[in-house]
Amino acid sequence: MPEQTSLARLLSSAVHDLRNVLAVVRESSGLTGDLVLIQENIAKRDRMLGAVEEIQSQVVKGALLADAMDLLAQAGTECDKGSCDANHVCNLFCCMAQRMARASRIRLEHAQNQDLEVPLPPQRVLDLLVQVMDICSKAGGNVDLKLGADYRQNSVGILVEVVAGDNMQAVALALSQSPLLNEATRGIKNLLTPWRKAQRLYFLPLQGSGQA
Amino acid sequence: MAKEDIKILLVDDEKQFVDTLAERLEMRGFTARVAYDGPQALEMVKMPTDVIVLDLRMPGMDGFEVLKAVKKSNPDVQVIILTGHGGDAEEKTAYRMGAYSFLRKPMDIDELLASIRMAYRDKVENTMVAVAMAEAGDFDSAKDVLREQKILEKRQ
Repeated sequence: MPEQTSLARLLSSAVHDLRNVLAVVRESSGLTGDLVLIQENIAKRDRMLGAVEEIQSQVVKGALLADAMDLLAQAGTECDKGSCDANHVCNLFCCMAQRMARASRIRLEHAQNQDLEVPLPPQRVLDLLVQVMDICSKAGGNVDLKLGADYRQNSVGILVEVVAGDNMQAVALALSQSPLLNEATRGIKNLLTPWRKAQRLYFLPLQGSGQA
Repeated sequence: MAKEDIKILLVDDEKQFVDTLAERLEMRGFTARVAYDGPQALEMVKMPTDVIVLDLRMPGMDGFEVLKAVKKSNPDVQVIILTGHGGDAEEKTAYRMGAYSFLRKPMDIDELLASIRMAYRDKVENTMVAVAMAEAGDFDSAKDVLREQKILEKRQ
């Protein structure tokens, strides 16, 4: 689709510039920190170093957002290889969807796992994650979710854990019994199954079977 | 700060970024020179250089062209790609062309320093192996070590 390709190229160009902006911010604030560090008697030295650290930490968040935008830019273009690292996509989703989730008082956290390549394009994994979040949102939100890809019973998929929150039970119930609107969500209903009885942990397989 | 015996050439058209990075590297004891485009980089690499930190997207001559030219003229010089345009395809191409490592902006300076030190260590080791081979009369293998060792490693 030509329009999509044009948009993807423009977005990719913007991401490149964004990374350059972040690089300048990172180096300039880093230099400020370096200069403050070598001055023993500078006023409010600790405060300045703290501010520099905060800038650096925000740059890291910005870089993650740039990665997420790059992923979207590549979706559906010739750069889209039809597979992705599901854990990386989970991490980018948690970053991208943070604002969206906050509206439903959902807090997203990425479970740090190892790289896990799945035979699905990243936009498909993102779509499934959005649907999972929508289910939680419709159930009233107000929960903390932990997302990450892993193996379960020789299948690779997303582990959705309802970690905390006042509305944990309702959300857990909704994840188990979600109403289905289309083929994709029907897939979720069939596949999104409680993994352990005692925990609010759900598994969303991303392929039929795989090597553990 | 003790002086580190590594001669670095930074190549990037983002002047503010590369000047600041050079200043930070100097503060850490490195010798860092700066080129703002490809042709200037190829001129400066004629002076003793251990490691080049190279951007990919630059007006005129891009980073891949610079990498190709450097690997032809100075195969022992290690090239670290540092770019804001970091897709998988670019990364694979860079390694295939002999890049030592591939970093994305905005990088942590400690990560860059680690990569520079490893690249320098491997350069020194490659040179020592090549010298030993040359002393043994095996000039072809010596050349291969300098020209292709890293490329082969990345392809495996």
